[in-house]
Amino acid sequence: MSTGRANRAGLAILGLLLVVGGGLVLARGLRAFPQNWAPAGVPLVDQPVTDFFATFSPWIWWAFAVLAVIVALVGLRWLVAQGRTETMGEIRVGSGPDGQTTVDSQAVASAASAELSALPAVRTANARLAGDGDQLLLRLRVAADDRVPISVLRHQLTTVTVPHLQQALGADRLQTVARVELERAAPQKRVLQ
Amino acid sequence: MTLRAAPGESGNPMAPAQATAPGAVPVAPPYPTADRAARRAFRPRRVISATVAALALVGIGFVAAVEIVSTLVRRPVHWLPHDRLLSWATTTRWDSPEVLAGGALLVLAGLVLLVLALHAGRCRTVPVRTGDPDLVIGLRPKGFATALAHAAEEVPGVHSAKATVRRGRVSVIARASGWDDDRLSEAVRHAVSARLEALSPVADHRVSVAMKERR
Repeated sequence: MSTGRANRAGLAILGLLLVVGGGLVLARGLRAFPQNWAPAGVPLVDQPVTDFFATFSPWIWWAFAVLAVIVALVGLRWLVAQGRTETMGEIRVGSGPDGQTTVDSQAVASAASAELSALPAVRTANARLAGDGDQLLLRLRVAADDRVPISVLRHQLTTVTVPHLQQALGADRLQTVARVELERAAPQKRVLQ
Repeated sequence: MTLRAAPGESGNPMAPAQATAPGAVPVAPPYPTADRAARRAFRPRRVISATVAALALVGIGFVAAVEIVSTLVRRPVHWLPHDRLLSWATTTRWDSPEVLAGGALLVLAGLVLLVLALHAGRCRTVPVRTGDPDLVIGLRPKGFATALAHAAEEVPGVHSAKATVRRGRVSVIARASGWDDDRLSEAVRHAVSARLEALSPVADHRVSVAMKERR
């Protein structure tokens, strides 16, 4: 799952828990529950609550401690994911009884960058392969002349760069995300005759 | 690793670029699936909100774990005032204003998180039309505006131009002198619209042009 999608899922789950938790507190305080079951006029920690914790102590506290550790670890994992860069190492392109063939993803990406950079309208290109063996993703950062029609870049990507990468990786499908920075072209030289 | 052109293809990667004249390679037609994929690819990733939420989880989990375990092993760290909290909880009723305000605050915080999670947000990259769901191209907004301003500057008579793009509207301010304003304004609009078409953003843009006297 991409970081963006995971972030939105995490925020949604946390938001839902807070809404439900806060809603239950409000409901009890506003006497929305039957008063013989969850009365509003009693303290937050009353005798039944104290008795419950006394009955199950200390195991209930150990359970809370484990829950707290899990919450902290989930938070830590989520935090680490923010700084993660999706990169791949070696990609297996074939295997047989004698061994397997792998290619270095960075080398393949560099070849794609070089191919794109060869376009006169492209100033710099940087490629990175991400994803896993089943679903590959090519991420591109391209700086191009601001007069280049997007159709030219699209044509180059769909007819040359991506098919070459697919061929090299033996992949049927290669998703590509390109971020293009259009840079001001140098003024054309005027020749006086 | 060196990549070679597949047999039957143009072996020269420069070939498409040689036809850089507008119209040489057709502009991608509208394709809803591809347009949706492009919009989705550049949705904000909510990194700041997620970082704050993750930090809160780490902090709450860590403090709670240390407090509980240290108390269980009879070496309480006392980062939190246990006695005061317990005394407050045993004297405060569910229908007290503090508890109701706390509940409302939790609901509000939860709603904010849900909105952040479910609302698409504004793209910081301008997705362009590719006609292929597997190929997503996005333009940096600054470069997009610069390209449109550059198109306006290429109209004879225009000295300089500035373009701003906001919420589907391109506003161009062109500076010129001694020209027929209406005719020049129309020429600038035409040039910017043509450039816009060549860049083919997924979202429709309206072009407005204001002419100013060259200083």
